[in-house]
Amino acid sequence: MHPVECRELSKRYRERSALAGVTMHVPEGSITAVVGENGAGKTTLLRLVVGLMRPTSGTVSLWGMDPRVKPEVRERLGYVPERPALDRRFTGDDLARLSLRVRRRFSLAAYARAMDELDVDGSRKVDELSKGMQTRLALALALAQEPDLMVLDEPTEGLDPLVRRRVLAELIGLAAGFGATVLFTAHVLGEVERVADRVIVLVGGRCRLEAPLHELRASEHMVRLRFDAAPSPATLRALAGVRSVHVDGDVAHVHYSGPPELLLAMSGAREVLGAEAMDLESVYLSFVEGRA
Amino acid sequence: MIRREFVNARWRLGVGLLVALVTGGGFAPLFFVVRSLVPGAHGLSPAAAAALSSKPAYLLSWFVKTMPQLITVYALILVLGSVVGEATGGSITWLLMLPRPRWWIILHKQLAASLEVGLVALAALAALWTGGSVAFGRLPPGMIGASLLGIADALAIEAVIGFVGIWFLTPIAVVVAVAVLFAFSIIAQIAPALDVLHVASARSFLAGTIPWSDLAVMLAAGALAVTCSVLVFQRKELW
Repeated sequence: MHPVECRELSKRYRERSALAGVTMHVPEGSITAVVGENGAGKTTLLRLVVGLMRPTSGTVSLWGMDPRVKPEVRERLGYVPERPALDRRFTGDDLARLSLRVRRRFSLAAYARAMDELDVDGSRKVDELSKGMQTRLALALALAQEPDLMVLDEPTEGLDPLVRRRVLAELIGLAAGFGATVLFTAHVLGEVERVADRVIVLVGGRCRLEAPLHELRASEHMVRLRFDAAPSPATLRALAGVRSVHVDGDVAHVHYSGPPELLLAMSGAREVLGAEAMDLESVYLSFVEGRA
Repeated sequence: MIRREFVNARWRLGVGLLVALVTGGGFAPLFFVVRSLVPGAHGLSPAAAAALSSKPAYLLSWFVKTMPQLITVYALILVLGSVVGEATGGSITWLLMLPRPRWWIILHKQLAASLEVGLVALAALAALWTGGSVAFGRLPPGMIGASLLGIADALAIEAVIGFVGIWFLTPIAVVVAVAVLFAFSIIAQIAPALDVLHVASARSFLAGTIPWSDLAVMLAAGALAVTCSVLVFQRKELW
């Protein structure tokens, strides 16, 4: 049973559709990144996953349980929203003591270790901390729950680049050390490639890609094909594995998932001018710009 | 959970208790002034003096009617901080991520708010009792009934304002809560005339009876508001 499983998940805000039929899963022990432009539905997806929102249709399960029906499953969950959910009148240490009363798995030793790692002063009120410090405090509190699943919405937002690296290193350490599964959203794709081992690409509320990063690197190619005459983009887009197409005269630039030779055979092109393995950023841009 | 609410509210509660004690205790000198007029030293006719001697009970009745207004202001400040403030500030997410059902969370929040308002109401009444005892040497009739009704009023007001706060989760809740209480107040004025509801009057305090039906109505209204709060919060979407 996967830590996270979503089936045909949709969410509408009045007339606007934020998510449309997202089916995805997060395997045990993985570090999964959800990427997408602003308004793609990343935050909505995470809020549905942790049970803060009710889906319009579809299902969410954490280890097979709906978090809205079985809230006790949140005992295994650490969640850090984009805007840290901390009561501003408390100090970090106050919040730790409160958490200790209401969460069985919360550990003051783990809290102290996380605060030390993240270099946060627990004696200061949340109100007195900068946004970056608040994010770090929220992360420390989440880590101190020793969760099986960490859900982080833009965890490095508002952090300076140096701290950003440390936070990401902390994520990796967490995943490796505790065997926890991590699901997070991010804007900076370079960070995602360094940290994650799986990626989910959301475009316009739809899940366009869900794959391990190593598979993505091996399979996603930007192929340049030469045709005898200008090809029809629509015909090329209809081919299996083709994600986006850009035609320039008799040359087509095709974002293709699979071996370029197969595309050559399927498309009826004269020759392959070149094929480059794509990194995450290129894949992402291809989806967003091409609206594949 | 309740401890968290009280730690959060320590300043508000401190100021509330102080205001309650001063307001409740402030009636003692007023009683003294009234009492000093009664012996007729100021040329009052015997009839006027006799009428004035019944003033303590009227003052008590007036205080019991004034207390809801004080409590309303306090409850509005409480809900603004404890519910609306948490929702707009985002810290409500921390509560919602607890491994507890939503009804448990909101019930504890309402319970903490009721305790807080109850404490303030008790402080005001305790000060009034003390002041009254000092002024008259004995407690006016109906004091127990009036006090019980005062506390029931306070709890019902808090529960209704809390429900409105949970429904809206934005500062507009304060405006709506005032409008709702205003509407209730009008109904309470009209209802006795229509023989629908007998809200406690100075007469019942003078008679020294405990207004059980009024108490029941207030507590039922409070319980209904809390139930509605739980039901609304169960389905509430939080961004």
